[in-house]
Amino acid sequence: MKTRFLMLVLLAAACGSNPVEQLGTGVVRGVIKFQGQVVINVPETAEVGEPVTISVRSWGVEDCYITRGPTRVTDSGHWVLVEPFDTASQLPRAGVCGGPIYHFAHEATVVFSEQGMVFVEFRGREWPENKPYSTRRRILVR
Amino acid sequence: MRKKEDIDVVMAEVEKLSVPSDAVIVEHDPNVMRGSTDSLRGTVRPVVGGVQIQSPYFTCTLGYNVDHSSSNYWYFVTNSHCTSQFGKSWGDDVGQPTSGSKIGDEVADPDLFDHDDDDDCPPGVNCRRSDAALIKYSTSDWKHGRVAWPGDTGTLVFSSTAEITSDGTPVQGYWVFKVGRTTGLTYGQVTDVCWTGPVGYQDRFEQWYYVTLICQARAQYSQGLGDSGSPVVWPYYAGHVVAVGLHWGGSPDTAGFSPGAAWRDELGEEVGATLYTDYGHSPPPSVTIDDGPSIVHPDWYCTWHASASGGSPPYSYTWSGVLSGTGSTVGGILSSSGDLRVTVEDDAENTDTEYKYITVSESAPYHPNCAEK
Repeated sequence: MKTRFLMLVLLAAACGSNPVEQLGTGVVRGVIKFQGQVVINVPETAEVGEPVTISVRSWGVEDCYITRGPTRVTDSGHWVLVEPFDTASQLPRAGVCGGPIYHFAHEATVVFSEQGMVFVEFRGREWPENKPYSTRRRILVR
Repeated sequence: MRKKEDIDVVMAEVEKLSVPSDAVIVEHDPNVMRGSTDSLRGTVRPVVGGVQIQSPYFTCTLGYNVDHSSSNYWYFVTNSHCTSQFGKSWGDDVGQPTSGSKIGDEVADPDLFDHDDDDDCPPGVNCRRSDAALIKYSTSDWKHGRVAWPGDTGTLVFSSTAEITSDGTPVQGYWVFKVGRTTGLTYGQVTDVCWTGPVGYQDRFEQWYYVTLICQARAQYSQGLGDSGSPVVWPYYAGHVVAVGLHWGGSPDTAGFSPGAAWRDELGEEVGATLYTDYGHSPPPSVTIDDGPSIVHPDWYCTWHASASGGSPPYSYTWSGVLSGTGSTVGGILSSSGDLRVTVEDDAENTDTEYKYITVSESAPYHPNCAEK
């Protein structure tokens, strides 16, 4: 199993059972199911050796200063795990902020080396339950 | 209960149950939109203020439906920061409740300005007088002059709407109500009517920026992420409110909103029109007689049908001239030629009338709407 980081992240704690896993200062698993809505883009098919871009939306629901964090991808051949994280901004705070719910597009590019069915699992949280959530899509690699 | 036809349906059901009709009172309540309830976060049609909207980048709340005085197009307002970029229109697609159900495109989002442009803007920062952008409807399924009105605080479910009686301005000490997709109906007292300060935002490119909002109102109602763009109103009388502002965010202890006059002036100047949110500026309906003969035989019973569109449904139809009646269809035998008129009145009491001259002739051609009597 190889683990790739599309963006640098320091992991302060291993994944545990805490629904809000703290993975460093202000780093949390992304909310990828928000009030029933999941936004994932995965192609149905892919070619061996060709890069494929997949994406999942996370929702900045907890703090108006939250920003998009890293996207961790674990590629095990016929199973790819995508884990989006979001981060509390380190910017100075004005004390007053606008109040939308931000959407963050977490993208990953993967290359498959073998033909066959590949499963892509997205792992994050669901809101407002604030509990772990994962969903899976499949890609036929030709 | 919406209109006379609906009342007739209810009374027919009452009669089937052998309940004396004089034992039942059925009233028309113009504030009830439909028999079922809706969630501020769900699909709401016709679209009203206070419900969830979404672009590819943000989830927010629709503020008000907007009448643009010099065009036949219709709009709604939400926060500028709920679009791709504060102070620039990128023509964002906006959906209700989610981006997949598009209802409009962003068309106006006035530029930020600085101290050189306007002395009111402090040196070294970018300013606006409101956090507002105008979205042009791409659907006709909306209702002007109304905001969703949950029955109580703590719920996102609503079965009625409040009618916007007029556009007003916030007054210090007054109690205002906010209706938003995250925290629903909340209320609090106005603490400031002209606060100026920086507000932090993140744009579609995930870049942080600050805009100094000039002369904003602040109040003590609860709010949460996603409430951006919510209508802020004060109650006028039962079921009726005055629109006083557009919520944009705040700090944990204070909510902020752009006063109604500020966002209407800024956006109105951008589009060259006066903007209104009140029910009295609802669009007029349009009616056409879309089915029926122009020439009839004196022995034939014929029918004509009219269709209304636009305005504020539901509609009521009144026929006059050579025939009289109510409902979208009228029928009868004509003894002499003349005008057949239909007047449609919508829920906002706006009307439109269509005329059709009907000739009575022994040599009338066949028409499928006619039968010999």
